[in-house]
Amino acid sequence: MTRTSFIRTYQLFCILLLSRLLSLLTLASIGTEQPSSTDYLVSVFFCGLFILFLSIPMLLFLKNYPQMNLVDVAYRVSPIVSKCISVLYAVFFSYFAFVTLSTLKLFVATSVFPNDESTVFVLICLAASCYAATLGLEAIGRASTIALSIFVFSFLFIILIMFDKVRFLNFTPLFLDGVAPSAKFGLRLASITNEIAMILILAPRVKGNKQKMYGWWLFCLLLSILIIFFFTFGGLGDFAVKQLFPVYSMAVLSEFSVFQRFDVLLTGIWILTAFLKISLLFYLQSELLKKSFGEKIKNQYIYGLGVVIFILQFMLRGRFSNYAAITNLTARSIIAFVFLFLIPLCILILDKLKNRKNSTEGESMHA
Amino acid sequence: MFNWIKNEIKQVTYPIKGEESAPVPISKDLKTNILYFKKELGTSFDILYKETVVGGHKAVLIMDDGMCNNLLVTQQVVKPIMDCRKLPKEPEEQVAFIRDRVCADIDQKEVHTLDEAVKEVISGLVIFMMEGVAFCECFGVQGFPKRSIDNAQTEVQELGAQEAFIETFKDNVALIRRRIRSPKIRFDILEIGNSSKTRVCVSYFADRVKQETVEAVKDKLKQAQLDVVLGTGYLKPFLESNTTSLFSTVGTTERPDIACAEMAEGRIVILVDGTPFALIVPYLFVENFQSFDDYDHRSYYASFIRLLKILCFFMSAFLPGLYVAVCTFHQEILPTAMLYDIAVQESITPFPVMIEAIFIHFIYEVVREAGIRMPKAVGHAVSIVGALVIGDAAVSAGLIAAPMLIIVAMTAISSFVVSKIYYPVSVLRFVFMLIGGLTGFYGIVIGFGVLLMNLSAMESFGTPFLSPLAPLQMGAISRDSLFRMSWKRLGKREFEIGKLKK
Repeated sequence: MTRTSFIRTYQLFCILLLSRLLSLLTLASIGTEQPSSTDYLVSVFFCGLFILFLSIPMLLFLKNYPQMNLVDVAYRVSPIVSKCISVLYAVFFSYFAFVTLSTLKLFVATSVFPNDESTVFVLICLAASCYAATLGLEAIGRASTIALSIFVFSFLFIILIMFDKVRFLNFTPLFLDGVAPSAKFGLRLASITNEIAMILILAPRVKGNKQKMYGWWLFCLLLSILIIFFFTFGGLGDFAVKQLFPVYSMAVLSEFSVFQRFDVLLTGIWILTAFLKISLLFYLQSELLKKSFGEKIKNQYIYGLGVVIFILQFMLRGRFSNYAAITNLTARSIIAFVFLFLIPLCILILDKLKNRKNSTEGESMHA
Repeated sequence: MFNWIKNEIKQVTYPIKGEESAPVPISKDLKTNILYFKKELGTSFDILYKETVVGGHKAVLIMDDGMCNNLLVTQQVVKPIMDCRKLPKEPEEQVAFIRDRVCADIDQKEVHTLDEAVKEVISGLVIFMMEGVAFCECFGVQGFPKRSIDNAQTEVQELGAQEAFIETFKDNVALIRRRIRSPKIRFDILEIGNSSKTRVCVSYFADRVKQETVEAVKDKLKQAQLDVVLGTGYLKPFLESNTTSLFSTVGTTERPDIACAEMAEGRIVILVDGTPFALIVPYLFVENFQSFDDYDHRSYYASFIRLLKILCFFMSAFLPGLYVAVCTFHQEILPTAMLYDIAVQESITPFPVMIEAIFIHFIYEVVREAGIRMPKAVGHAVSIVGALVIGDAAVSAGLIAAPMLIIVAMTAISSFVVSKIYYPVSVLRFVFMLIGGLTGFYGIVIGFGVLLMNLSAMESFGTPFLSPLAPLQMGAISRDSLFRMSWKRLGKREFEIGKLKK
């Protein structure tokens, strides 16, 4: 019999923050919705609002079903619905694992090894993530605590040495192109917040006050985004908007004493974070499928997904335009709305309706 | 492939079988008993049979010559029995009289089966059997050759006690008892090894360790299917975490003071007869950076040394790999002057930096291994030859670049600072050199991530191996793990490993 592993709220906080910060750091300036530099700072406010809106069903879940996850509640509605939910969310997490790896590959192929073949690197990253996912949630939680500490220290270091490069002249007047670009970018930032779905699935495996953890997570996330944007656009101005990876471009400029180009350090942290995030996503999809369909061979879903993603990556190799699918705002917004808001809300309503129906039937029987 | 290897192994081994025969009771016929002994122990010259008549009944004393103290046997057993005149008439009463009145001042044990009696003889006890008695008396007069208590060889300390465990485990128990005179200490004995019947002592504080943990340790030890147990290393794998790793979740010490300190923190110390090393469980990763001297120094210095050791761990594991990665992929991170110097040096060597690094570290490991295994006098010569070959000739010949030598030297010295984890670190070093050469700094980062995950997944009897770093417990970190508080603060509250978060 396998022991159910639990993590604490602060470990979940670390996992979620790392996961979300990675999405921010590897945010590529692809698409048309580019606000001017100061408006990026304002977009953080919109991002917070959108995330809060998307989190409403999740918060209701945490309040009404503290010891159950989305699949468990769906099972109360119907076992078939539960299985469908498991498959849907497994696909959702697999998709984000693919997106994370694709973004990393895009970054590696364009910035790190522009002249070299990055397939070997992707293969190593996938193999490592598969192995890490097999180690379980506790290991991911513990490793994330250390990784977040490293992340914070390294980023503080880079920001510290970037301090003298910030020029207030780099900031454009507020709402130069109106409010729409800021709001649109805020939506874009919120649409990559798949961590809400992670909370929905992981909630019963977490000990402690999850609502409080969520509040702190959102606060720290928005603060981090604000700081990162401030230094990126304060240091680079509108030049940052023209870069494929704006935060990376900021790190390229940083230098300390005789040492220069701390982008290597920043990239290293990104890769460590990406590795942890992919491991978690692999683990989540495996847990969902295992729960509904069982497992014949140990870790079959993890390694299976690894192979599928590698094949997809191999097919994407060398074609920059292929990455457009993973950066499309409309597609991402729809996915986020469906998986973070609509499905949880529907399950919540269906369960309430079923409960009401059962209680009225019970009362009539009793009468 | 794996099946083929398994079959090949089966061809050169046989399965270990436990002794399943039913115990043979001691017969009232003395001859039958003696025949059983001779059948079991064969014609070994060291087994002595002294047949005699005591109180009008035939009797025999059986002993292992090499395992007994002959003087004690004569003075405490043979002479008093021979000199005894006023014995009761019945043989059973006579044996009881000898036990209670004649040889009352030495260790005694009454045994009712012949298997057990044989075991006691080969353990160094003298067996006294009498015609018409269905049991025998065992007298503890062991006296086998042993080493005197000496300084620790592997855990040299600047301050503190200069005593180390020795091979006889009863002396080791005494060394612990002498330091902690608490009635709460328990020493539970187990016997492991189908042939060797090695005594293994599980020592702990009864009020500081959960009984389930003690039982878990004992169960794991009992499940160890071994024919002979000649060292602590034989038992280590059975106590380790289920997660496969280069690092061990079982600590080792040869110092009784460290064993006592570990027990006082709620850990279990396992002593194995015949080896001067004790095993410690649960064992945490941070303990690899601690030494007993830390507690004799002032707290600021102890904390400084611990941080230094952590730095040395990272240097010894990652420095060569990072050097290879920087030279191969990330030259831009280096200052121009330094980059120029390194480039000039590396340009004259025939090999790529990765091959060069692996080659020189391989040579270094060969020299180190030779230096350890050779007799001391020759060992020094090996070191000198190694140093000259690597340090001078290889650079002069243009095979190795001078900066690489500096890296090797720094790595080697750093690895000796964290000697407790030398072996896993030396393997990791090669892995990271390979990764650094193939995928650069980013590959090293992934390697580090895998290592971090691996360490995070490990547990030592329910305690996370990376505790108190992950799960993060600032109280434990600041108290006595990465940093050490002064004794004024440490002494106020007792630390127990069981209190660490799971």
